[in-house]
Amino acid sequence: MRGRLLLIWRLVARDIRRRPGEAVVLLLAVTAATASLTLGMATDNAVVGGYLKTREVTAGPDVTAITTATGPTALAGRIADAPGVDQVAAPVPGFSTTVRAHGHTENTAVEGRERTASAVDRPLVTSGTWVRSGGAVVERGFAQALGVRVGDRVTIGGRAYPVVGTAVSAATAVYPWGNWAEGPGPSDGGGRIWLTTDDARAAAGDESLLYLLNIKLSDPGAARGWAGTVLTDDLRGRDWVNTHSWQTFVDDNTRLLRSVQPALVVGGGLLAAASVVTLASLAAVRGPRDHRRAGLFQAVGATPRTVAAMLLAQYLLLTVVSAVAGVTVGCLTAPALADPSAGLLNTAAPPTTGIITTATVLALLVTLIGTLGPVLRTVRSSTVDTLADPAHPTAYRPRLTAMTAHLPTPLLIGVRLIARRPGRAVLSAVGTAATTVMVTAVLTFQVSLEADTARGASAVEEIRNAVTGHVMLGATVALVALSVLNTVFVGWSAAVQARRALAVTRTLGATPGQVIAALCTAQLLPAVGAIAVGIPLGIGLFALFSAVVVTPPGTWLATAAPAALLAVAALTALPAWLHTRSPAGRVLNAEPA
Amino acid sequence: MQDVVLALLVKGPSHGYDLRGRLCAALGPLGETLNAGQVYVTLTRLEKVGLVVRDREDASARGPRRKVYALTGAGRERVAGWLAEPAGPRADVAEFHLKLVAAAESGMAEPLALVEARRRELRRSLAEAQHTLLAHGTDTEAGLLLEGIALRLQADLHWLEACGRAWSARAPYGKDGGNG
Amino acid sequence: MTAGPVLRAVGLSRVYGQGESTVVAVDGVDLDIPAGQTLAVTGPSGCGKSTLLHLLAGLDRPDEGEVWLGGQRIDRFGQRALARLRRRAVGFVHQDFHLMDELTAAENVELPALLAGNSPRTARRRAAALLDRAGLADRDRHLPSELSGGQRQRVAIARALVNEPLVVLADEPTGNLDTAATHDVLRLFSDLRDAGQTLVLVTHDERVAATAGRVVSLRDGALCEDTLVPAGGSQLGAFLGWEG
Repeated sequence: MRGRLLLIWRLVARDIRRRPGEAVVLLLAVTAATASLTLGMATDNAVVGGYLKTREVTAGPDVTAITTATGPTALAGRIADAPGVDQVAAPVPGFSTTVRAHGHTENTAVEGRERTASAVDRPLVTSGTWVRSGGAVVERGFAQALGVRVGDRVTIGGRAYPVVGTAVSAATAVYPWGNWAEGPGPSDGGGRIWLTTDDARAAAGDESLLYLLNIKLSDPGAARGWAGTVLTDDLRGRDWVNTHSWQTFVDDNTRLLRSVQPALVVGGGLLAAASVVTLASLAAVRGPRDHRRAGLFQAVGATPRTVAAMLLAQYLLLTVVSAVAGVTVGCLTAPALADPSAGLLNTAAPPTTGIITTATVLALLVTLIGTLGPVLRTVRSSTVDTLADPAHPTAYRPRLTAMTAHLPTPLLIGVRLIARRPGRAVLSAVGTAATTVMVTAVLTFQVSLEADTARGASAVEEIRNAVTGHVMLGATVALVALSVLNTVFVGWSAAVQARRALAVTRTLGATPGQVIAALCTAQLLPAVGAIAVGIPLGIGLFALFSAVVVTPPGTWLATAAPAALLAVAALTALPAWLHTRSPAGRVLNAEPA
Repeated sequence: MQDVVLALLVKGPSHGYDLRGRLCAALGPLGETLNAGQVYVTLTRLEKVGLVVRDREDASARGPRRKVYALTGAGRERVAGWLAEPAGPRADVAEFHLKLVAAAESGMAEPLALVEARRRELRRSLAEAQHTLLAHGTDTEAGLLLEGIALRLQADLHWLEACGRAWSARAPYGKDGGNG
Repeated sequence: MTAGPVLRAVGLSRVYGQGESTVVAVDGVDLDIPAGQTLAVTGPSGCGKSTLLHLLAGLDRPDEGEVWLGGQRIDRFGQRALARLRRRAVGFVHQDFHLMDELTAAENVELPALLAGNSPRTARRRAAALLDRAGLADRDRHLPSELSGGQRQRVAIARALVNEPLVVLADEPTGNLDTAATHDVLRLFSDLRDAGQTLVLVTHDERVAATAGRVVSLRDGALCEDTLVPAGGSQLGAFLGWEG
């Protein structure tokens, strides 16, 4: 067994050293797909991680109780005596108001705090200092939304306060769910600002204060059910009391990212499709080599299973490396994406087993879909054939030959090239379609966004849209990059595989220009179909996840489609041109052994 | 030449003119150097040692009368012996070719069997040459000689391959070598 | 070592194609190859030599007849069993070497040994010994592209020997080589023969065939001649023409 592993390792290692380009292409393609998928799944995870970290550092409460009672101390005492309760911090007074900064007005809770640290919920100052008389501390996510920094001023109830610090806390969900002091009735959302207790009471003026009780339980895991079982009417008294468990904050925080996830997961799926194209064209380029290897292995007595394992190993090893890279990249990027409102402490949460499994499965699936077919075909062919004939025989199609005979030369050669390798036409179509879908979705998103903004969007929606926009842009850039790679690669593999036929064509009098045009035709015909399918599919896919859908104007699409075709043509022409530079005779003489 | 002429007489008595014609047909352009006199001289010599006898004189429509010769018992034995003996490593192409023709003409041996026997013989020689060559190397003077011998034997074997193909196609007992 | 044939073919036939366009590549071949014999199969191209060799090696399956190798009938073996057999009992040498370009000479020789489940150390030891025997001890770290044709073929022969096979089968082993390289390869074969290795080589070259102890000719798929070359003998003197 050790010997065989050594053998596989040798072959894979030599292969990577001899053709690093192929390895890099494979790594990039699979890493992009797994990273995107990991990101899609890890954001939730990162939100939870971020919240838990914040909760730990700030001694976040297990349960918060908000009450309108004028004398909350009695309630606090009763709760403190209730079963399962470890600790209740001194009630924090607060009220809901509006704050003005840089000309914007936002809803916010204003909270009165002592300068000394509370037993539960000690907001962590991330810049500046903690509250002092006349100075306000703004919750970090809210500060970012308002665009204020330490030293700026915010106006509350007609009085301006200098911002002395920003802080994060785990006692509420992040902005825009920081306004806990709205009392009974529906919530408008908003931020959270801390003043000293005296300043808060002064700022409240005539407004009735609410109180926030931060409660620690002996079993934090029981927080969700605590209010229902322990907070009986006896305990509650006659006042309005509203409770939140820490888990509901996690739920609220992750809700912010709900709209981002489809973009990430769908983007990941499209990237996976593009990666399949990359791998399949890689397998096609490697085909003759793999074929020869398989024959050789069979001749020296490798069982078909060993040969298949050997051939797949060279792909799978790199795939596993890519999966690891993808998961790592995804998890490292997730926190930045997970905390769009900057209300939490960022931590790179280690990936869950679920994420690792899914990403690995995706990577393996991509590799297997792309390469299993060729590998099995190679293994199944008999040893003698394999050794004798490295190239696949191509069927003669008299009808096609007759049909294409009247076409102009480039088109004629192009169509026949497609007929020789219909699989490759499908490949380039899939690649182009994936990109078209994504580009169309981005265009649709932009148009829908404008319509949405014109209608007026809430703070939550704005944050969501901004994040979704970033994510879609990122996925599109990755997809376009991969697609460029694919087009060059497929074009190159087409030129390599058809080199003999094309060289013969050239000796028969086709000019290099006609050969290039033919190779472009062979790529463009499937691309036209792919774009025709991709555009409606992109709009449809976007509609699936978005309430508001506005179809992009026809002119946009009319520009995008030819632009994509032009890009495909240009990208194919490059390898084709490189290919036709060498004299035809040399190609014919230097056939691979 | 004596052996060939004898072999051509196995099937039945014949005269010098006919024998020359049959020889020329087998030899093609090479036979053009063969004049009628050589055949008659040979026949006379064979008659002297008792291998052939003058059978009769045919009257032809035009030209001189022709002496018809027939094989004696001793002559027949001589032919059988000649066909059975190995040609030896140095035997040349025309000689063996005539032997094949003679075998076919006389019906006393199967040409293909002769080809195979010859092949076996040449292979043994070639094997010896090759083994000696492998043992001695090609870069000595002796090696060079051996190389020459090996190449010649190889060429003979190649030609024998062609003979085998041709004679197996004319089976059995070609009559193409006959009157032409 | 057991007496009797190591490799045995009984009524072996192989037909290619279907319907009217069938070609009988091998036609009822009977062949017994005793242990230690060097057998050359000659014949013009297209006579079925290679097909016969593939049948004997278990690389191809006969339509009729039997193949016995080391006392086992192998023509009914499944793919896996055949593969194991090739690994253990057969060494194959190809006309165009079929070395792995990306592996060094030594690694190429080690390949079948590793495939057969030997430890890397055993494989390395055997490969070194065989390369030494092939006169390539100083070339073990060279890639095939850095070796001459003859050296490559000797590496391929060393590779065929690494699992100590019952029989080595060579298909036109000198077909792509010049005279000097052919000479080197034939000398290696001759060493193997002296060491008692059973060897079957297919060749269209009579000079190559002449190095074998027995030569059979194949024509149109059928055996047409079988010559045993006696060891020794001295017919070469006849070339001088001095004997008489």
